Amino acid sequence: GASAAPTPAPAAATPGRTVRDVTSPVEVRPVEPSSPAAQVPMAPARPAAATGQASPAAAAPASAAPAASASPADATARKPGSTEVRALRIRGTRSVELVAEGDAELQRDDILLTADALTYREPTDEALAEGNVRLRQGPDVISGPSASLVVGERTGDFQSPRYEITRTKAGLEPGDPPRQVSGGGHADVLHFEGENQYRLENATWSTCSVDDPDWYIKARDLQLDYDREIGVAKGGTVVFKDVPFFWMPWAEFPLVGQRQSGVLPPTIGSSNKTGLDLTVPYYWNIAPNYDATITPRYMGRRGLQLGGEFRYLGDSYAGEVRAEWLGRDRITGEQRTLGSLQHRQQITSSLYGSLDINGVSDDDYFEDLSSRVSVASRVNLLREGRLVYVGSPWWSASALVQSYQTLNSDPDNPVTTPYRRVPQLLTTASRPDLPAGLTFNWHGEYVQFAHPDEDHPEGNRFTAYPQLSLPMQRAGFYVTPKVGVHYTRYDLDEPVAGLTDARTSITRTVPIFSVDSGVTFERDAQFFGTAFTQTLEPRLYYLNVPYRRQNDIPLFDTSRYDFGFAQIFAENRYTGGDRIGDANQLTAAVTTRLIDPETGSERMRALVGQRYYFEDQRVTAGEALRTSRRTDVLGGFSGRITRYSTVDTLLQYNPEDNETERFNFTFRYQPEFAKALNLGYRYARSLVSPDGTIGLRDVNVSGQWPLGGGWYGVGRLTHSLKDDRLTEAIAGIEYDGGCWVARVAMHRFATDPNDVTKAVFIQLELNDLASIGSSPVNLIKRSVPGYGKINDPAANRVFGIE
Amino acid sequence: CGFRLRGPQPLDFATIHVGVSEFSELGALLRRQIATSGTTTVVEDAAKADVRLQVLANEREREILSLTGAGKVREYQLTQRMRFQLLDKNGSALIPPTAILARREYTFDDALILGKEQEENLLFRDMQSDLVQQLMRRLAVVRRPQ
Repeated sequence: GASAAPTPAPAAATPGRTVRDVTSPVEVRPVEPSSPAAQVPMAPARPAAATGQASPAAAAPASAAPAASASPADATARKPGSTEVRALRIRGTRSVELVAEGDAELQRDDILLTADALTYREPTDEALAEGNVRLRQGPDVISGPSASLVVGERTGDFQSPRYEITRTKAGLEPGDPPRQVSGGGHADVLHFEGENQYRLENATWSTCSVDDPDWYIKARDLQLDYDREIGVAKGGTVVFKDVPFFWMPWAEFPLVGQRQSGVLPPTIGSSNKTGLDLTVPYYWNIAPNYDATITPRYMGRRGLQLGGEFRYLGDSYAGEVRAEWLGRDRITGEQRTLGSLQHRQQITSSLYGSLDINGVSDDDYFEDLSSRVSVASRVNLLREGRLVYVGSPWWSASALVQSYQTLNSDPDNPVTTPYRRVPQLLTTASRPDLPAGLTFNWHGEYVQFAHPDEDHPEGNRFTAYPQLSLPMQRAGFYVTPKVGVHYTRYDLDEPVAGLTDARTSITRTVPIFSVDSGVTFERDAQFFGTAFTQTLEPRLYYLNVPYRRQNDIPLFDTSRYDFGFAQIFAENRYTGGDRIGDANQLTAAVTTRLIDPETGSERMRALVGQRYYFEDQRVTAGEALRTSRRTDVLGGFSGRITRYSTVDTLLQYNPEDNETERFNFTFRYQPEFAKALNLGYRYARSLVSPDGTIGLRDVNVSGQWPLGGGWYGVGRLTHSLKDDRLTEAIAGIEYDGGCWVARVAMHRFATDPNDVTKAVFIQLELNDLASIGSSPVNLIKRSVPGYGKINDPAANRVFGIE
Repeated sequence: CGFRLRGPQPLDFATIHVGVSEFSELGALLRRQIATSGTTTVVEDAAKADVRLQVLANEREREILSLTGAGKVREYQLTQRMRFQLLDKNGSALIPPTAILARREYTFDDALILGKEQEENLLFRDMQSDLVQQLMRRLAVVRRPQ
């Protein structure tokens, strides 16, 4: 089945950046990613018993045996393409016209036509059916008072039919079992226009039950194309609960629930920033690999915005262009615009390029015009071009030109814009199979850093970092000694201000030596009456980096890593290349896991780690010098503690001062699909937030629970105990109507110390067709861990992760 | 207390096809790990392999974990979800489609976005190797029906 709209290139083909934010504040299209729809051949369901046989090739004035009488002719023995007519009475002449009356049946291959009376004309291959006509083909059924059909060509007409057509669709994800999607309705006339092609007059279509649908599309002219799996409605209206919902002069819609194409219904929401928020998108399917959406959006408080999106897909490239334009914002009196371009291109089999350019007219754009927290919280908008060359599995090179637009919506807490990299040239290599078991790694980088502000020194940095390691790995242990020489050269346009002997030309050469080692012990253990394999995995990491003076190097791209389990085993306590932390230190950690011996799946893990310093710290990146010889102790636990509940927790403890520095705790109870309760606590004693506040103490509760009768409640509260302030609240209710779902959610989140955004999302989702309203699903998924989308097909209702 | 050094982890198949390009980080990591088993070689022709490992999805996501009072991001949570299946020569599943998940969180500051981008990469690499370890443990218990 061909999807009508371009689907984004797979994420795996995008090296480098892996996370994409949503730039547009408006979502006009169903959000779920499309999965390639696969059409599985229908299994013909043939009646087992067959009576008198009247193949056009065989003798025609056949027996008038009653339908119940037995006959040796077996359905499976029938020749492909042969036609059988059965009835209580059959008359006429073979190869001219057969008239069958009383429980008449005509069968060819997987087509079975039944009626009170049937006339079959062999020369034209035409069948005329009168009275209780029923046409079956595989799982598809069309019934009505009369029909005429050219059997082989699948052309003809069906008067006043009731129809139901079923197709098998691939599961939502590769590997999922396929699912059945049925659509059907009634019409004045159904025209057969060849195999898999139907045209209907004054017809209805729905994925609900055919006879009493809660919603349906009503159209003057309805085309169902089961080759492309797309329906086209002309003069159509979507009717929900007998109420016409919206009218569409021309619309394509998916017949088997492809998510990327089809009707774009209006979205309705509301927020205190925009007022009533109504969008009426118009979807234009220009070609199989191009489409466009034009989105007029009316905001009660601000005026009319026009948005547009153009997507394209080629063999070696894909991309989208998006723009928004609000001629005059009624509140600010200004024009407000957004532009965005994403392009990905496979230039040759080993050369890949991408462009990602985003911009808005003003600092408050997202905060004012978006009611989605993931968009409203955006500060830095990316503008970059990238080329990646993968020379072989062991080396690659890339070139990057990158800058950001920094939005400063809060003038009291301005955010410094990041340095521009114009350009960054990078080469990396890893050659693991050298003689004597040696591994060679290479990191080479040249960056020209530029900054729009006068007071930021600019300059370039050249780095060469060859490394040799000798991994020795056995089943139960590994030891990896490693040496490297980190060479850096800076050329600055001015020395760093405030230092007496700051240089503009700086060379730094640092030998780096480390040994990483780990052992894995195992035992068979019984916990909670279950047999497990328990592991015990101590790991020791020794690092030695001599001190080099680098306080006169500007911090272009460098900050200190968080204190976490991945970061404490990093070779440098700083990201970027502007500081190489001096080190003579040993990091130790122990992990223990409980593993299901049957499946190899991990049920629980607990970790504890700490770092010991043999020397005092000398290199800093602006932070206070460490005084202690030991770091805080880091402890973590995660896993399933009962059949239905999981715990995830992390503790950072300072043994010198007897203080808990950081404590995160999450408990989840999830007994079945769409039933989840979460309790979370986050504490960080001295975490400095971007807005300058110190410390964090948040408690949050969230959950989804069935309330009975098809109703479900969802909600989340995040309360800052430190500020005694509700920073985020979500309350929502969902109703599962069988073939549709309605959701209402209210979201309130802080956008400023004294300001909140309050938004209402109203959504009506017509299963396998479209969603009307602004979807709160992504918001709820993010905010309520374990949330189950209640109209996901049953096969996809996997809750939790094994 | 009953702990003993972990013994060799032989895989119950002599050849495996890995359905991820060796040019990708995941593909390279999987090939390296399978090579250390000592029992199994990776073959590039799927038809010749005893078993086929298919990575059905390997998705990375970043979500806001907490906001500052000013509505800016203070912490992000990273999630990597890998879904895979293991098929034998006839295409029947030795391991049905299975999802495994890793999560990490880190503090964010828009003023340090260049450094944080690299921290994010470090965490994704850590999660990738965590998931590959979990996958290897599942491959190690697979027994082919005789």
